[in-house]
Amino acid sequence: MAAKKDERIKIILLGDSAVGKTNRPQQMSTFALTLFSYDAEIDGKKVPVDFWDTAGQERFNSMHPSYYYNAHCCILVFDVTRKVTYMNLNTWYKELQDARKGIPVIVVANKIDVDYKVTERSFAFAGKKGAPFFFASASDGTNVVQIFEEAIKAGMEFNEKPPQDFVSDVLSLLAEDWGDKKQ
Amino acid sequence: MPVRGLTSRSSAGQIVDALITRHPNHLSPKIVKRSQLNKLVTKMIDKLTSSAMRERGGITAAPPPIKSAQPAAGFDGDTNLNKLSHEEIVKAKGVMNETFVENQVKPGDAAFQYDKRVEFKQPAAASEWDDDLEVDSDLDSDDFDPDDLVF
Repeated sequence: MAAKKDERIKIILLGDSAVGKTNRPQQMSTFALTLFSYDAEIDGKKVPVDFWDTAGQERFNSMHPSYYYNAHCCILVFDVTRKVTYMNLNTWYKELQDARKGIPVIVVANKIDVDYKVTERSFAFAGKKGAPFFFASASDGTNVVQIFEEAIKAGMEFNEKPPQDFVSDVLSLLAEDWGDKKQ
Repeated sequence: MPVRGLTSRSSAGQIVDALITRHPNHLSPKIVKRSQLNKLVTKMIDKLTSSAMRERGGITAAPPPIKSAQPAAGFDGDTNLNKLSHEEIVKAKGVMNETFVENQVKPGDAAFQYDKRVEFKQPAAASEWDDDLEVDSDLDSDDFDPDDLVF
């Protein structure tokens, strides 16, 4: 690898089986744990990026910890034609945050090409997690490039300055508050 | 001349107010009726909305129910494919792949656009899926219970 290791951005795809994670324009294959590397150019700067795909391991309802190891951003995908994939976002999100606290997440509602009417509905999950949300179609290409760009940018930011466990900080502040009220 | 801030999501009233404030010599209510301006702006917004709709695959008179996975194919929207056998997943993926291929826009196709970005209008309604989804906001993390704090 040409670049120094710490400059590489690792982006992972996550979500249920067959939500379309792998159906990217690049058509990454899903035979083994799949890794797709390329040099992105963000604001005139070359950034080496590794995209990790699950290779069907999500069937075990859990990923090997190495999948999350040192990841910088996660693209969390559900399928707008199958409710169960939306309901399972909670599980994936929890596993992700347990493994890699504070990692930025982008929530993607994929397969909108099946029925564009779905874009007239809102999906609350992303908003509740404070994550950006995109409607997408890996089939006709809607918003796919944009999502990857956003993921790379968020990943770069996370790599440069990982939040010092912001959530824990907030929680401890809240705890002080609660403590005060109790007394 | 473009109208500042005009998008398919704009509120006509706000745009009209902004126009009047910005061009009082031409558009004050003494010169042009507010209702006229309002009508004009509403038309412009409507035009933007319908072209956005066309881009999204056409306008239909009555909204059809949202299509979902085919129960006939051996799975439906509630089937957790993660729990099926490898063969069953392959089969389900095959069924879904038909739609994928049908709607696919590939490099070389006339409609192909490498970086196709579509900004969708603010959704008018919440998905009914949210009725069944309990999401913890990150700030009420279930790892944390103030009662666990012992001093």
